[in-house]
Amino acid sequence: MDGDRHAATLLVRRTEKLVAQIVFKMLGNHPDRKDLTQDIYLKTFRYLPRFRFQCKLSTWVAQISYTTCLDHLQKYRSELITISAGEELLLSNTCAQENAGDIPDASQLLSIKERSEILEKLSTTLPPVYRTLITLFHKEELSVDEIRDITGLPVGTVKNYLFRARKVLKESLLNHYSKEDL
Amino acid sequence: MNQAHLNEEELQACALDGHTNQVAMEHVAGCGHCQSQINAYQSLYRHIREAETPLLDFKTDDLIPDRLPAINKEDSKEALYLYGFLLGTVAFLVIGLIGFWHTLRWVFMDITPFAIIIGLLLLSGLLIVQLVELFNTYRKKLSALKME
Repeated sequence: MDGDRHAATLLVRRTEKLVAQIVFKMLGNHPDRKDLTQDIYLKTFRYLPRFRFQCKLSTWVAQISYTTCLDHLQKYRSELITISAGEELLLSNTCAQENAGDIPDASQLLSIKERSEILEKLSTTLPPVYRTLITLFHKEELSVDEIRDITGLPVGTVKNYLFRARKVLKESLLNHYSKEDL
Repeated sequence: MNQAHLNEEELQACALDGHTNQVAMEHVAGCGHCQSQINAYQSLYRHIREAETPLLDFKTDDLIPDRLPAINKEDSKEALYLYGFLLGTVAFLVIGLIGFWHTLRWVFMDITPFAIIIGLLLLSGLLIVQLVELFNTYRKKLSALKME
């Protein structure tokens, strides 16, 4: 890429959505988001010669994004993977389960924007790593192996985190709609 | 019908791709509770899938530094060493052959057409293996660069 701005622009354009997803899910609406994204691409350009074509280039950029965000969160000692006590309580909430059938009909009436807002609100209670894994798997449709490459977590751990995150989100969603109905 | 409800893992898998074992499928067909749980998961997956993709609220051109870091020349050094080594070997063989021609010429004098064919076949085989290897590496690199 030696000085080739066109290639650099192409690389940024092709990966910015994935990078944005990771940064937003890991950091939320953090004021350092721009600096961090700039840092991610600086690292990408600097370490590009070390890319050994062992995975997709976008996966490699996503890997840099994830580790950069992780370092940033660790610096501020954020809780990365622990589900809060409130969420654990939510998991044992049986009231929501009884109203499970109400979700699809109610949610179909909502616009995509409204649904996004609900999901955003509910997922803020999830730890950043869980939020990121859920987005990469269900939204970006990456495979568990690709997520393993990005996060460096073992496949079993990725599956376990996905399982727990889905369970928490489902209960939150049920709870949300049962409250709305009341 | 199996009376036991599906566990959470089976519910998630069933909502994701609709596949689970036959006994579980039969249970789901006649169980309102499991069906509603699966519906809840499917609704969640739809929420995630259809959620708006966050956009960076600044110009992406700002992400490209004014001076792009120069490519590290480690790779070209490696290639230089390899070519140097090959050239040195060829030079060594040629000089050796010229220097010791009187001693070594019987090797070439007694060479039979059959040995030449064997040699050529061996060389062609090696070349084909090398070409296939190169093609596979090229394909792997291209698929790695495909970003969508």
